[in-house]
Amino acid sequence: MTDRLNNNLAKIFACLSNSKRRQIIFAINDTSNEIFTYPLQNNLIIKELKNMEDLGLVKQEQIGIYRLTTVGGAVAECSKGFEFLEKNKDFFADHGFGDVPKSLVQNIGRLTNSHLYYGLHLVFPKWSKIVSESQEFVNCIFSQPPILIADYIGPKIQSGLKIRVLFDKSSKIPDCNEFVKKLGLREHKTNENFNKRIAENAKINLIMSEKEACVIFPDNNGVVDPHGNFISSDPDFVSWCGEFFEYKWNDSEPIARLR
Amino acid sequence: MLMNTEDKGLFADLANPVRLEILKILQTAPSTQSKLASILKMTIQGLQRHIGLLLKSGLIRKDADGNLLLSSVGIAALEQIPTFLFLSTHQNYFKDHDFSGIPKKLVQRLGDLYECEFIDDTMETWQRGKEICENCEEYLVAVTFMQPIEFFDSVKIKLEKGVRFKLGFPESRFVAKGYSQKRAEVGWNDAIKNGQVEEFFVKNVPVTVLVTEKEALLLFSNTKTGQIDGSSAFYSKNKCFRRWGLDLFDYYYHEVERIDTPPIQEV
Repeated sequence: MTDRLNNNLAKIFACLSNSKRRQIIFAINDTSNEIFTYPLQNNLIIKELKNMEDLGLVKQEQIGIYRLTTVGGAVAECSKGFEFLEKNKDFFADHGFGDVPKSLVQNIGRLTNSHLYYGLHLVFPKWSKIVSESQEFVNCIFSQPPILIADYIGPKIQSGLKIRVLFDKSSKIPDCNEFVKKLGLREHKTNENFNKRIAENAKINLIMSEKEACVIFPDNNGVVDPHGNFISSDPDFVSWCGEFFEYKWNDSEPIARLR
Repeated sequence: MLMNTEDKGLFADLANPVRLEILKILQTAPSTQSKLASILKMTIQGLQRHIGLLLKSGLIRKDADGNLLLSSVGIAALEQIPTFLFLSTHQNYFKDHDFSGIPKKLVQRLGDLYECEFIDDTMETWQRGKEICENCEEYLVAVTFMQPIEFFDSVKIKLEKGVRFKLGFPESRFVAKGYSQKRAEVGWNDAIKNGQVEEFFVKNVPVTVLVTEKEALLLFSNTKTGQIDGSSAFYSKNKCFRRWGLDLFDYYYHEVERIDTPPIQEV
């Protein structure tokens, strides 16, 4: 990084460090025509807009009417990643992004409109809801068999819903096998719509349908922490989870049955 | 820009060239305060204020041996920074060019384009596009508003060598006189029939991207003319740049609604 670039970058971050300026940028970015009007007597906003104009983030169209520049629009989009990190800084102090590929780490801004639930008693009903309300598909990644939601996945398998489940190579199948029986994990493939695969590692767990998704990150030791779940039905969040699932699915081996 | 007491959070913590440099150094390997002070040519005392702030903000942490390293937040924050660097480097260009036709998820990944060469010359842009076609040995995928007749100069031999092509065009594709005859002569139409070449059409293509197994070229829209600007381009052999280009192509290939093949209108 050259000094000049470092200084430019520091200036942009200094601009974004002010919550009022961030609010203005997001407000313009969220309007369909990307135009921002303000009360002319509001000197505080005028000052902030002037600062942002000097940095090339906004442009005055007419007196009182501002538009985001190309760079300003992109900065607003890219700031979402920082918003997500800021919002969940405490959680990520002892959790990591596991095996999320670089391209999806760059896209973590798409997770911003989600809620972090902490505690199995809170997340279990959410998992069940995602599965039971699914109408098109259910995709899951599990580092350990999903004992708690087997009762919900089982009937969906029977109903012929398209289900894909990806297990970690080190997944341990328990002996108490009511759960294994329910999912037919030891049986050879009999249902065309129920596909199982195994991945070299699955550091992140995921439960998603076409409507809603839940992503579970590992702690700093790389162990999935099922207590902390990000859950949302926001389309950006769901599509991020979908892309992560496809990334892992395409990098895994089909299995006829778990051993 | 001056910051005031209301300014806080990750952006405020990153709004300092020294702290950005510290993070950049820790991105390559964990380090100690004394090593950092030596690299940055600063006193330990001068450095401590920045280190303290980065530790407090959660961008870095200490391991059991006291070495400083990036935290999960720091790693993810640094992944966002190349995008800001790309925008900052090309701020003048983007005064009159925009990201029309680029989905938001790829705008968030503009940092993948950071390691590139900016070509600011029409003839050089044209020539580079031609060379990319000549250099490919496995595949060429593109979304483009035009298909110059010169493109076919190298196509015949490429088709014989088994190179695969996938090209997406807008409804109003620009082609010059003699285009239909030339594409028939080089065997393009036959290659479409046998699946070696695939063409698809979408309503509008406000960006141009060419990607091969070796390199990629990217042209954006000019906001003044409302058209793709062929007088300048971004070019790179960098893996991230190519990956971004392929993802943009995939977006048009898989996610944009297709239209029926329009008749060829030579201009």
